[in-house]
Amino acid sequence: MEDAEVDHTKPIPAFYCCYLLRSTKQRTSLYIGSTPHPARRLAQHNGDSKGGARKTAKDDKRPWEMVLLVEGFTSRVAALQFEWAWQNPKMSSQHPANRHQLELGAGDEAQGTSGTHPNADTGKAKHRGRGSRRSLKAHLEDLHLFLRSTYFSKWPLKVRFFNADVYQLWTSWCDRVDSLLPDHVRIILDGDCPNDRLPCQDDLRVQRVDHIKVDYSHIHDYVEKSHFLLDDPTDLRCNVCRATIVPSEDLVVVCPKANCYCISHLLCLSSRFLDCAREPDQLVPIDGNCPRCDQVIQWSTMMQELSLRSRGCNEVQTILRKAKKGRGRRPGAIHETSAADTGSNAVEAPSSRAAGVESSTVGVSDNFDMDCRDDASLDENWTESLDIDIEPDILDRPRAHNAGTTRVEIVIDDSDCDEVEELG
Amino acid sequence: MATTAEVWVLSSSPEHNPVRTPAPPAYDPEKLFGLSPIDTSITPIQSPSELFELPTHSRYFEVGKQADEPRRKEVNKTPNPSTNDESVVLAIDGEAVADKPKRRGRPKKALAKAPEELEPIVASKKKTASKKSTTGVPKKRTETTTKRTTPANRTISGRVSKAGSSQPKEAKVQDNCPSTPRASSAPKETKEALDWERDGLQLEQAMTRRLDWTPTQHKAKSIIGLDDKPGSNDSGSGFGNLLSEYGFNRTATPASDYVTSEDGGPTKRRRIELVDPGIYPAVKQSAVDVNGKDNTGYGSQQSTLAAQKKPKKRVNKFTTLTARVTAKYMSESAETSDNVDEEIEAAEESLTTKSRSTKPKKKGQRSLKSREPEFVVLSPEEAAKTLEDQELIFGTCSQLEREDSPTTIRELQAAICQSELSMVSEDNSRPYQKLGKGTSSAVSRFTGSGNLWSVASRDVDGSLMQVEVVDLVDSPDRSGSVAICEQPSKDKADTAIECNDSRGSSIQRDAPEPEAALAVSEESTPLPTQNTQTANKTAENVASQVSASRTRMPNYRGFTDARLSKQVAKYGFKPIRGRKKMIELLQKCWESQHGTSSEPNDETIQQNSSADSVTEPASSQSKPSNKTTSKSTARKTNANTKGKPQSRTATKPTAEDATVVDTSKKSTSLPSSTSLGATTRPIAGQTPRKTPTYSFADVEEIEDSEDEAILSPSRLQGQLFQHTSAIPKPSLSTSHVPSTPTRLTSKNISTQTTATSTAAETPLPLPNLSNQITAAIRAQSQSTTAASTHKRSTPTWHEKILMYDPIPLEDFTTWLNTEGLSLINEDREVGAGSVRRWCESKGICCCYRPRKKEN
Repeated sequence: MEDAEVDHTKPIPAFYCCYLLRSTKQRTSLYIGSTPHPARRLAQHNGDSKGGARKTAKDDKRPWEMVLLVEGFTSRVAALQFEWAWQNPKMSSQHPANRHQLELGAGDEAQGTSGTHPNADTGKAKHRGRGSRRSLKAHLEDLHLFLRSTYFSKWPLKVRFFNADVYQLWTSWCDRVDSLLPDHVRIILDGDCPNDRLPCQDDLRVQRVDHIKVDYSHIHDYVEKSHFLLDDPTDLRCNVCRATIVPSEDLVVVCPKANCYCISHLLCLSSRFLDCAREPDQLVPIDGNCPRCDQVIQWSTMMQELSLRSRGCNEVQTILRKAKKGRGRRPGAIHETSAADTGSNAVEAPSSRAAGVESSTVGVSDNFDMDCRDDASLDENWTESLDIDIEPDILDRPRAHNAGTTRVEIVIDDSDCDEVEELG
Repeated sequence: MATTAEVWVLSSSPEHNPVRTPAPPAYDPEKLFGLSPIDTSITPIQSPSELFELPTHSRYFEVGKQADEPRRKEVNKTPNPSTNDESVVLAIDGEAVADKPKRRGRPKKALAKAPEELEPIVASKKKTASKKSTTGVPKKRTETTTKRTTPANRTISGRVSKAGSSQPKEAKVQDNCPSTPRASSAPKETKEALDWERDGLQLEQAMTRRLDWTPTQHKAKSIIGLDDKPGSNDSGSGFGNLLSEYGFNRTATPASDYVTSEDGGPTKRRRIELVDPGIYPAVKQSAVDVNGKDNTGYGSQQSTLAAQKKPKKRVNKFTTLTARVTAKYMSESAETSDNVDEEIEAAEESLTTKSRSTKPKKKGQRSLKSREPEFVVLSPEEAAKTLEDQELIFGTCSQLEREDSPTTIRELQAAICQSELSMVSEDNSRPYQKLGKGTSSAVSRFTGSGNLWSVASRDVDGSLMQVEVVDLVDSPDRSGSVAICEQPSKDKADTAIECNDSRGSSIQRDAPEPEAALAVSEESTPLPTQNTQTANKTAENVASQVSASRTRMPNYRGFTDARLSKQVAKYGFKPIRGRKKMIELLQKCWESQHGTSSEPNDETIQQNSSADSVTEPASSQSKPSNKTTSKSTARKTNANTKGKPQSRTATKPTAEDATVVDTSKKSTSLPSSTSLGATTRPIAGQTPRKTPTYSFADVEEIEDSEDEAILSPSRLQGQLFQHTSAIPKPSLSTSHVPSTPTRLTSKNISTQTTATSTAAETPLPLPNLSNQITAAIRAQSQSTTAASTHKRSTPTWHEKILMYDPIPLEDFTTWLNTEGLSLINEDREVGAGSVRRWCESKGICCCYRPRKKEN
């Protein structure tokens, strides 16, 4: 239990995504990676800052562009798993084809030690042809497939397209595929994509990768509201079970809607959502209607706020402090951290307040800071160190895929992270 | 001379030796040394057919080698090629000289031979350098002319040193004609035979030859043709001893008998041996060669050699089943070989034929090669005869051996008993548990004593089979009444089991409600009346043994130091100094092994001992006392013939016993106690049912239901009753116990039973494990919320999942197995793999804990 808590000390990251990188010079060159900070990562790939993957270091392929983002990962582990699966669709246990085989061998595996599972995957993948699908279309197909898989389909993911041609390819494929993506997976057309669905795109369009908000700024108001809401000494009651809520004791969720003051127990609300969704077998709801305001609220958003509130005390405090001090204040401390430098251009917050928040987060919060530093500390030999670090962790994964990718344009090598959890 | 001397050196060099000489000598060492032991142990190795075959190969090789030799010689000679004739003369002289230093008696012979040989040699020289063509002719001449003399040469050639010496002449003379050396070699062999008699086997040389293994083989092959007869003549004198020493006493002795009766036998053996051509072909052939040569000249040697051969062959034949079985199919080849043999024999009879035989080595043998492989000694009729004469015993080798030597059986049994000591001890503890309702004993049994043996002794169904195993061990011994006393360990085990059984049975009949003390007392009191004198003795012995071995724990202090050290060694520890330490160690070991508390042990021991005393005499009695000796004997025979009563289902013997017992009961006027004792065995299976406890032994014995059927009908009914009631429980206990160790450990028997019973109900419609996991998670959150002890800092798994925390599979699995599943009364365990699948099916982000300890 205590060990598990180690992992739980981190709040849900403000932003984590997997991205599909494409060379603007050689359009067949593709790269799949993951990062909590796409703009900074893109800069690395393009050589604007240190730390880009070796596969993307060739000048004849630079600059790269992020044509596609899959965002909404609730943890770094989740992002890495998705990234790996996307990179190695043939070895991922989430791939239906593999899943099929997996079930066959599941009997042994189920009782076996935990470590053997990935091995089984790799062993399976070995004899399967590799490298047959390298095209953009293939990757889109894989993405579509993974978004439908049992594992990833339950995640609150969103797909953001930056390029119209990619999106077109995507739609064409979606039309051809029999099955549909789960409803909750939102497709965000961004960049130069035709903005045909404008009405429902509320705040999601950012136009450029640089504008993606990679901090908690988007839930700042939410955090502030919940803080004050729960700070109220008066009687707090769960809107579901009507029982008294002790904020210091219970895990309480607050409706993210600005004008809604619904609070409820975590378990109560989740069970209610699941009941409403008629999915009693599931444990984690995707979304649901707030029992009070009856608006559809995303579970992931609430969890982000809850985790931030319950675990990121420092961040919350800074957020609150900033909020109190007023929005007019200049975000002078934004770039305290070296890490922030790399992504400076990306973090230009639309509003000064958001910027302030971001700066504060960067400066104070350990966890978020760590993420930044992870990326920032990458230097020339980043790739080497990455190899060293990752290999042991990924031992279970077929190492061959590196070799296989070398000859192909698509570079599926590194991720933003040096630490990779296994488990595809 | 100088030139000759040089040549001599070269020829004498080890290379030559293997080529020419080795054949006879190689045969000797192997026969003498390796063959006898090897043959006995390995058995079918020496096949006459092999002998024949190999020679063919050898011939090839020889030819080639011969060719090589002349070349070498030529090289050496090249300096003085012109003086061939001179060289010949010189060579003769040189040979004599050379021989003298090396071998004492030879020089004369060599000299005598030398002049004779000269002629052919010269002729050969004249003829040509080509060996093959010339070789045949010169040989004949030499042999025909100087048969008697040649033998001397042969002997020389046969030995390494001599070969060298003899060769030098040949080399000098022969450069062109390799055949001459051969001719000389044949006489040499005869000489060799003489030499052996004189000098003994000359094992050192043999060893050296051995090093040159492959070459020796070839030579042996060349000689082969003559061998067949000598083999038949042989009567193994020295071999018999070797065999007997080797431990195959029975087989060896009967084999010798057979030999006398069946002279044709050897051929047959050869057939059989054909099956295993690869093993010792060269040796045999070489031996054959010597014999064959000897035949003409020296009958005495032949006889001795033949004697050696025969025993070997027979032993080989009969030892392995495969050989016997395959022998039938070898008959055809044997016939062909017979023909060949006849031819060879005829040739041997006449000297001229001899020359042939000798020739074949060099030249003619090539032609023979094709035939030789087919050589078979016996005619099919004879083979069939021999087969009929033989008693065929079918069974595994182990069975055969077992019957053969009682000692091995005993050892085997002892080993088994030792290995199963732990089992026995468990059994011992068992009765106590049942009777006295030992608190933690049952638990300890699973946890503490669950060793490999207990697992290994399990049936497919998970039931123990130890009882039968014990019978198996005993059966031979019991047939011999004395055996009991001799084999303490075995008896121990037996008695232990039996006592349990008997007790259980007694309990069943006498005291429906198991009260140990009462049952025991009842049993023990009748003892004296029952026991015959022998029975008493045995009982006492058993009791003492039991007390000693079983009660190790309490009695360690009473042990002598030697005994203590022995015990320590038993546990695999190095000898320890200090009596106290040893005692402590032993006690600890004992405790760890049996896991039961010390107090109950004493009781159990006593009980056991008493029970043993009862049972033992009973068992011993049953056999002797039984009127139906025929039955008893029959049983014995069964045991013997079968070798081992199959461990698992000792059905037949036991069944017979049961019948016997019944008869004995009625017929013998012995009190009820005897019946008890007599019935102990068959009843063995019953005890478990009686007490529907958790021990595996119970389960095991239930299987024996066959035995019960034989029992008296009245008993049967009762047992059946018990069966029905008891059966479900044991099975449950076995299945569930391993998975739910934690629970069982902490609770006493009553709780155990309840737990098992509850578990018993669940299994049929086992809920899906994944659902169970979900339920467990929900249960945890509910319980915690209800307790309101949990805080935000320690979220439940459900909450973690809701908050998208990556779930570390290891921790989660551990929690499920230790706490989670028990919350919902799920006794099964889940593996990380299944947990992972569950997580993935729920879309719960899960991961194996990163190996790197990074945050």
